[in-house]
Amino acid sequence: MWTYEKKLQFPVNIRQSDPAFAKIVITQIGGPDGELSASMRYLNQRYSMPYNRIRAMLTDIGTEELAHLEMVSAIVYQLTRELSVEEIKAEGFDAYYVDHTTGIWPQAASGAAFTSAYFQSKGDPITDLMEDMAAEQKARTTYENLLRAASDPEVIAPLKFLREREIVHFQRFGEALSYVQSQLDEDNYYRYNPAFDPKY
Amino acid sequence: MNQNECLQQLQIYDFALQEAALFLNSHPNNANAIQYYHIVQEASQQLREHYQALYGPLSNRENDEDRWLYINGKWPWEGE
Repeated sequence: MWTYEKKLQFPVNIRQSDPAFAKIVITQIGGPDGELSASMRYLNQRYSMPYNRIRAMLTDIGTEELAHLEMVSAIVYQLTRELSVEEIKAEGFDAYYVDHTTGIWPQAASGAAFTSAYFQSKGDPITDLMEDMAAEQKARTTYENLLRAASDPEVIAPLKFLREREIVHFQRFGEALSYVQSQLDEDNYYRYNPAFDPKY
Repeated sequence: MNQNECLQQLQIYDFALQEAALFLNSHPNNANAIQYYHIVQEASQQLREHYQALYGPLSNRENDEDRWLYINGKWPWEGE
């Protein structure tokens, strides 16, 4: 089970609103490589993972992704504070505004709603960990695309932190994949699925 | 108390704390509720320490031993 801690993993203190940037950074809330997708991917994959150390990893990284979701939500919230309707229209935030005012709602930069089709839970440890490693790289690229488009140091600092976490998670999942392979038939990793096939 | 009994008692305390917290969120000045909360909080903390000393950490922030015990043992979705 979970409990909530009333703090961010890394501080978010943005004084200058910027609805145009909010419109693109929101993709890390509800987009295809966003934090909600990341958290749901790992937390759902845990159940079919037969190895304790990787159950722990999926649990702890899936939990950390929820903390990242909160950080990106704080970024969008702070970027859209105290806006006038004129500013909203001038910066192209009007389509979001008419549906959600300035409430936080998980969507991609394109406006597409969050969907579980953004992630997979395949019930096969090698397949799931390969997906996880790819997901961390895709999120890293997304943060790098966002950082290229950002100019406010108060926005850049938390985005750089989040980008670095993608790299650390990629590293940990790589170690998890090596561990799974060490537990399998070294002549053929695909001889059986340790999450499904009867004890070999 | 064996491990399962101890865990069940912790679940009872945790649930009582959650119920008290929800009530206090909408009734922050209710003296009876905050008193009840403190009684359960105290009991819960004591039992949590006892449980973790015997059966290992309940979270990755509470591994007090020199060895990493957090990953050991059953995970909650496996059942008893």
